[in-house]
Amino acid sequence: MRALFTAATGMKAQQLKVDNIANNLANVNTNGFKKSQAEFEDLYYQKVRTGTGQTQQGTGAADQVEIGHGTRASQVRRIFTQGSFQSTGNATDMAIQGDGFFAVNDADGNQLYTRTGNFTTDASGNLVLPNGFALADGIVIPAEGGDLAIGDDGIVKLTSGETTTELGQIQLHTFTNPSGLEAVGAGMYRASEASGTVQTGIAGSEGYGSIGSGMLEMSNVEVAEELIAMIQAQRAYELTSKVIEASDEMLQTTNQLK
Amino acid sequence: MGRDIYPAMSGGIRAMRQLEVVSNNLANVNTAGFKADRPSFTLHRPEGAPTTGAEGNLAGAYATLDGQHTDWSQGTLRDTGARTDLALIGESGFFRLEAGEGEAVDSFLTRDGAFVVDGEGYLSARSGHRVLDDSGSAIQVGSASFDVNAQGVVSVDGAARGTVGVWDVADRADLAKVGGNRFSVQPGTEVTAANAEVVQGSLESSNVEPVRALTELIGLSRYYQAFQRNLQTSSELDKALADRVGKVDQ
Repeated sequence: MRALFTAATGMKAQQLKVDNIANNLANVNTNGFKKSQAEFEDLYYQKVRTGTGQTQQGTGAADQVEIGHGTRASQVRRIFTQGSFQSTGNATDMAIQGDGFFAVNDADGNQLYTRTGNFTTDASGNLVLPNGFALADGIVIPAEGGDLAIGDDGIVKLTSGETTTELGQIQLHTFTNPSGLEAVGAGMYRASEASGTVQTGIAGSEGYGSIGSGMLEMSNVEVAEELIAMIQAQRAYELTSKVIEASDEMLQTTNQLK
Repeated sequence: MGRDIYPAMSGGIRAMRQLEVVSNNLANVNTAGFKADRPSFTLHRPEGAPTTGAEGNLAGAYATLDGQHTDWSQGTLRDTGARTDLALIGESGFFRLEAGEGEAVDSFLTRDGAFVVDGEGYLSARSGHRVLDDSGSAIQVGSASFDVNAQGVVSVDGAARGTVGVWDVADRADLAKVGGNRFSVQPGTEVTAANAEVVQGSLESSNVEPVRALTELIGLSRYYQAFQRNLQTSSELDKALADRVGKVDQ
């Protein structure tokens, strides 16, 4: 009885949808988090009857019969829409308004990309994220300190008394297909074949967002939207379970035939 | 003898097939761009059976599954906010996808507009099939943010990069569902331009109506029970025929 297995694929798909919603909701307060969305596609169709290529008069029905086998998740896409901003007043907190990622180096020196901008300075003056990954632009803030300012274009300036020194410029990185980036956790992404090669540019120039210093980008998860999706998934789960019930009833009837 | 058994059986098989179709519809209740299927049946009468008068009923008639049709009605639009998500408004028209290498089809049509930009900057379906424009070639949008207007014109910073094609075939019966939310177009089938409004940032939901599907399910269960009774009655009648005809009551 094919219907039983078809219904099971539907239930599995809804389960995956709920799993994904749970992850989105759990990250509703995670800075720089980008929500993801599960997309589904129908499975293969079995030709129960091959058509003769003629259309039945009046009904517009094709005379072939194909029976589908249910659904499966085709992709869990990350949605890179802009999150709202939260002002922190801390100059090394940075948010990107528009497209682009910061590049950071992990402990092994691999380049990763992130929208999480809660940088602080470490003991040797590097701008680092809470997980210790350092900003790849190699900006070192001198120990003597001063007033730090980061412009929209990513230029980092330090004012100490009367003198202002330019420490460097933070660049932004974009990808042809950001949804194809590989998420490695903690808001970090790795370039992949699907994402295309990285393009580097100056913040605020064409195709790149601008940098807002003293601000953090919040999660782009919309709670109401997620809750509606959850209700939808839950109801769909219930519905497909009804097919299992109906199939079971029919099998029971079959058993009573003789 | 057995005159009623086969019609009853044909009804049982019919119910099973229909359940499979309803099951597939319900499994795809959250699949973007999915169009529900409805099986169609034909009633056959035994040859020489009376068609009029008191005998002109359905005695001995049976049904066969002889085709199916797809419900092409519009699904509701769901706002996603993703710029690569496109939806169509209007029952005529599909997005057209380029066939991959080695695929023996002309192209694919789909109403699922959850597209991505591939590594080379082409607008493509999640399966990797590229989206075709109004002249039948792929659309390169690059890495920049792009806008799509109601006519399907893709523009990057105000400069047009192509038009997302909206296509259709003269006879929808020529389309076959192949999975992956795609309908295949066989070589030789003419694909023509159609009119539908393109909406960016939305997806068309499945057009499966849960209420209808559930009603169908209940109906099928009961119908199947009726088929079983029918079969039993028929079998009892045959038994009575064998046991009692020819016997003289004392």
